[in-house]
Amino acid sequence: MGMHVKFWGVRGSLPSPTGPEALVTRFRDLLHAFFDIGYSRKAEIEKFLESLPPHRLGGYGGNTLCLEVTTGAQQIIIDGGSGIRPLGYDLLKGPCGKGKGEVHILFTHFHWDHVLGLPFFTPIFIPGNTIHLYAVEPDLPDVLKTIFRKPNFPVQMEQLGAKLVYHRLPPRQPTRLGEITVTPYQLDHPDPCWGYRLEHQGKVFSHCADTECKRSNREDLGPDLPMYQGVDLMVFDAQYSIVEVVEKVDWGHAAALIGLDLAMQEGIKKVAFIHHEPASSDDKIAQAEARTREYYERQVKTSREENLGLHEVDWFFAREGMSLDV
Amino acid sequence: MDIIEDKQGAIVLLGLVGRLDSGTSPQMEEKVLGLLAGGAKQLVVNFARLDYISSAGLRVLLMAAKKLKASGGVIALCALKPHIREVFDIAGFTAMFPIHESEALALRSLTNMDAPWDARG
Ligand SMILES: [Zn+2]
Ligand SMILES: [Zn+2]
Repeated sequence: MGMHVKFWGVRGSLPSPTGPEALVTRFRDLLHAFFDIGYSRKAEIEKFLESLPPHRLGGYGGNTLCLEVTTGAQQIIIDGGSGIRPLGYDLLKGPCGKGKGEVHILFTHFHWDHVLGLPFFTPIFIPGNTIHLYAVEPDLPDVLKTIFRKPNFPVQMEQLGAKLVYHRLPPRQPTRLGEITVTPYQLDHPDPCWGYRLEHQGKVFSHCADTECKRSNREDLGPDLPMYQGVDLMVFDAQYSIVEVVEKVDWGHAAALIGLDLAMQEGIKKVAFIHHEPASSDDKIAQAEARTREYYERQVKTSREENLGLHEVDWFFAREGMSLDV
Repeated sequence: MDIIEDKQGAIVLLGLVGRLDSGTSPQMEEKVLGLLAGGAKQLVVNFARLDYISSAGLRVLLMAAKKLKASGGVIALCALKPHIREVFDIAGFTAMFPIHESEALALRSLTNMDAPWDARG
């Protein structure tokens, strides 16, 4: 079995539930669409729902960053945004529910959207579980103390049921985690942020969020270039449009077009865009996805006509709950 | 990519040849910053011989426009091939730059301006 990736949270910056008003608007639109098509019977509901693009139904999801990578014998969680709460409930069905769980969480950095789910990650309260926490930056234990501290949270770090084990990862050096090899590379983000290259049975998964990707050619990327080479699946920061990236210099986020160009240049096979802007509605994210599609198709055509040698890439904007094999 | 530089009065003309992408955009950035440091205020970029532009190229152009604007200058683009123009449209860049059919029209638009950027409204 190869690596399997599940997206538990793909929203950037802040959890962004779809509000009641937006939901009412969505239900109304869908009911209109159902009858406008000419449907009228209950038996036609499933057919109708299946015909809709996913963003018109469930949307992209509002939980912040949390991904799960599994192989047959190993599980790695990347970041503890609010998406880690439902993942925690899922883990309770296994050894974690009996106090016999072993959990591995890699942190890219400690911005709120990547740690705020930890106080609601149930396995951390259950005695007998061991939670291994990994980061490149040395302040991980302090960050945990800050999260589990009165008056912001009633349970202090020392009172957590599970045993916490801290691991500091050496930058740009492989660390073996069970059957997965993890190598951190630096991304372009305020307050240091590290991407992770995960390798297993010759397949490579690359986690590139959060990043502004100011460096996008081989020379500038220098020691961090392996993050983008020989990659089967990359997740990439697509919070902004390309215009916003220039308006928000040093805010630390990129646009889908930037990740796509990098993938076409380096031959990355598949890209999942994440870290969606919290202020964007599902429609707006879907529009950005459609524009990215136009851009991609235009550049592939140009590459063929001008012999530019760009690679073709399979890509999508990730939605919460999606999962795929690497 | 080659950048061919020319001058017409106070207006600096840059002709781009080849590809403006992540590999060549640092060269363009350096060129524009150098011109700005030298006091250039009016810039015409001729795309007639540009074959390809990527997001890195778009990024450096918008950055140049912002910097020029901040120092009271102006940038105009001209002679985009249809497929490059299409990239501008998709990226939402068409509205962010004065874009002209030909170099002559771009030059005329700058020569006729009193207060270059603001006069455009
Ligand atoms: Zn973030
Ligand atoms: Zn961040």
